[in-house]
Amino acid sequence: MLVLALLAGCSSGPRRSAPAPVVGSGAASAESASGVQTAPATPLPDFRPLPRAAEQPSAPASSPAVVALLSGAERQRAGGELDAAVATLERALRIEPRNALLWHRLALIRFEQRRYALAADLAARSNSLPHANSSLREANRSLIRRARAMTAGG
Amino acid sequence: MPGRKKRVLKKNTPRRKPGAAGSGKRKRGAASRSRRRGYRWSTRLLALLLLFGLVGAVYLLYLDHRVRATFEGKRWAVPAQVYGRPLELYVGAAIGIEQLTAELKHLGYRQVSHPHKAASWSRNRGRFLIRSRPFRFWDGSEPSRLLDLRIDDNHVIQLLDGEGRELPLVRLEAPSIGTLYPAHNEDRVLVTRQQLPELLVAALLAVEDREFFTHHGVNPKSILRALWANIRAGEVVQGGSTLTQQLVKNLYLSRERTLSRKINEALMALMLDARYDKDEILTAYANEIYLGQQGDRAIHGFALASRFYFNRPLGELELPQLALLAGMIRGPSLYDPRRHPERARERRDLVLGLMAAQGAISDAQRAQAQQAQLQVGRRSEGAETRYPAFLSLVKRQLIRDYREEDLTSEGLRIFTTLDPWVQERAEAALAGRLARLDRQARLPAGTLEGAVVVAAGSSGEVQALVSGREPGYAGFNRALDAVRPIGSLIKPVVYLAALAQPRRFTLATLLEDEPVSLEVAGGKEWTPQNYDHQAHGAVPLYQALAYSYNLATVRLGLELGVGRVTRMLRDLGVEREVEEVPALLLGAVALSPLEVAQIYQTVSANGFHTPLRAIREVQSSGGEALQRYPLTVRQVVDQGAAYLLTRALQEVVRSGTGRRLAGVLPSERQAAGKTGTTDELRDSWFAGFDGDRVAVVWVGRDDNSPAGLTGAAGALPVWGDLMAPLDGRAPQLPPGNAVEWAWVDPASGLRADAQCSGAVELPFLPGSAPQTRSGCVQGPAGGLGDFFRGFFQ
Repeated sequence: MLVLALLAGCSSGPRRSAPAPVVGSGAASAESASGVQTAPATPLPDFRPLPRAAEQPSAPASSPAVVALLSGAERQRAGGELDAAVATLERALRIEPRNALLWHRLALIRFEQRRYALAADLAARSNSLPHANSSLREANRSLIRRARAMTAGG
Repeated sequence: MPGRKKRVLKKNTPRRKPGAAGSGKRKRGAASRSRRRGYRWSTRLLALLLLFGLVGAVYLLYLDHRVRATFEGKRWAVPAQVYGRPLELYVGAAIGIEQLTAELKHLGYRQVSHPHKAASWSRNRGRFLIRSRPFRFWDGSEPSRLLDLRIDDNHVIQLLDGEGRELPLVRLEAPSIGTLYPAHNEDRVLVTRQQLPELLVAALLAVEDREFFTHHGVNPKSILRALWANIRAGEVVQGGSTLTQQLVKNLYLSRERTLSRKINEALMALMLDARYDKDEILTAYANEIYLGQQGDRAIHGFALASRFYFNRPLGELELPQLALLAGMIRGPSLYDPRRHPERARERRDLVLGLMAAQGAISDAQRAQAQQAQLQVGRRSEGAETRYPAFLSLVKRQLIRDYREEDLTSEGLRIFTTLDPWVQERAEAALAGRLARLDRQARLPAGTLEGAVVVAAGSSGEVQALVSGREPGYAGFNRALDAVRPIGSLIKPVVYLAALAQPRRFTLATLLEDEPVSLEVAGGKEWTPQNYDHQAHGAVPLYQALAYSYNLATVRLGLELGVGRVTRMLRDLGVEREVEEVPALLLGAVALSPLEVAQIYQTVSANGFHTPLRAIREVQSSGGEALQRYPLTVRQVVDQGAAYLLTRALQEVVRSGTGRRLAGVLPSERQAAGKTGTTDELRDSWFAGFDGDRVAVVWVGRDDNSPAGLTGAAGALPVWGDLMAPLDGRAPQLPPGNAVEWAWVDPASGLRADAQCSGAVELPFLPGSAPQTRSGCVQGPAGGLGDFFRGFFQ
């Protein structure tokens, strides 16, 4: 249940979250692009920002598909089938590649498998995604610290 | 084998000769002598007979050994079966009606009014009822089940089982995309006796060997019958061979038509029949029989023939198709239902007639089956070489871990990452555009060639690989082997090397786009030019990339040091040795489209490098997982720096050299990319990504002569045609703490306000945004006062 609660908080949501509004883009028409690779006559007027992470709509809960896979991976991990759990999490990541929790779970299993360098990179990947909540962020940081200590220690 | 056989026969001949000479000795006279001689003769005869018997026995033992060794040992090399990615169905999945229909057709599912049987489906507007086939995946089995699925606006909005319960996730079976068959070109899929449809057995016996279950391997009655029929017809119209003899011929003997071969065939058929039961022989026959040809590839066995001709597994065939397969044995090319449909139909009807006459089916069944269409699948559907370019990538990745003979003989099941839907969009985009570009560049039709690589940005899974305008043709694999100078595709690497040093460079840093000249190897002078042969003065870094300015890039690269750029190239995933020369800064480095895709994958994943992969899992023929090719990541670049580069590459598409895409892709897709053009317009490149996929397109000529196209004119439209129909999100933003945003005045590179004319808001790595305010900033907090405040803080 804890896993599911975490999931609701930090997933990036299904693929069709509302498109982020972009003001003033798309102004350059196909016609105006005919003079390729030449300098613009005037400085660009509207290099507007893309929406920042903080402004993106907060994501809804994870899709039932990913919830099902995540609990499947948990069962496999609990049963000691670590490779199977990895495969299940990878399957979930194909559906929601921006789900920070999935990357985190994968990092944990890789740590259990003593693949420390990979575990640290996976945890860093988890933290590279927006919507990772603060407890997940801290869990990733701690995992990275432990993994680095293990690789440094031999 | 034939060589060995011949040697044995030769050994026999000289032994026979002395016997033959001995029988020619003349009689000499007297009775006693003749008695003695008679006695001598009979001992000689006895000895001779013994010798013959011995030789014969040895020979029979030898034949028996051969029969057993081949039959009981592994009889067939079973090629590896290669699968594409299975389609995942779940609420929210971006799948449209057109795609689902295409996927079902590809799997050989039939559209019916109500799906009672596995592998069938029906549709009413956006609602699909699908009865799936069971399938064994590497991580468990999906059972056959009824799915009730709704699609709206290109997304799955409901997924229920037959009882109306919600299903979280279902994967359809993985589509078969090819086999890796061995050098002798025999392709086959094995069946067991239980998997042989009884109607097929009935058809087979009716037309080839009606007394199969009662004879002893050879059927004298049938031989006489055939002889009589042939005499009456004045030509060979009927064979008297039993199935067992046919099997012996195919398994052990050469194709020559000699008496000795016939005798061997009969002897071995008798042995086979004595040693093994009928069902074993029948199964072997069903797996061995030759049923067609596609180029080099020989189609063996009913199971493969079923896929080849009908794009369906053998178990799903019905009486008319089974009768046709049995009928084709006599002449697979003569009765090829694709090439000679009329002849094939007559043959099928003849088999059905025989079956009815022998009581295997009723007259009503016969009449109904004779009414049926041939139902042959399109050639491409049964073809196992539909994606030869991708298959060769799979093979190259496998050959690192497996021996060639294991790949082609052990019946491995290889699960790959190919996405047939994306692959077909990519093939269509390239072929469609190249035809237009030929005309546009005033080249004879078919002159231009191209290659496309598409991969999932996050996982590095290769979804599509197109190696030329004729994707079904397994020739030169341009996506892997066309190693060409990449031109301006290198520039993002130069700019990333700069942006990774936030204290020296930001997106707003002014670069000098001024003439530059330097001495290179051999004392020669190198004076690069801009594409428009003009210098543009001080330009902000992001614009220098967006407009692909050569002078600014060379100056930047020299300031960084070429070594730093080559190191960055390696970090991004290029393993090839690269020469550290200044010309590298403008793309004098030759890479394949696949290698370029690797570079852009790392950028698209915000600096996390994932090796591009074509394989997910390999399974043994028994279903045991042999090897996984897991997802790995390695952070090679600061994610903030990678994002700054992505932001600049989005500007390429929004307003720079890639802005032709604006008319093709919706602005909210926020695609990022870069054009590349080489000297004399020899190579036209476009590499880019959205939030889901990385794609690289190369267009040029095989003989390396000028194609007459810039990256924007040639490769870019292919890229647009490919990406437009695919669902995709905007590239991933990093979390809030990785970058900060500030308004700047691009002309001065100084801090500005949102109100300033021409001001732009750019991302910066934390602490690297310019502090000095430009003149346009109004109010007490702006101007010089702010500058000094910043200076003294």
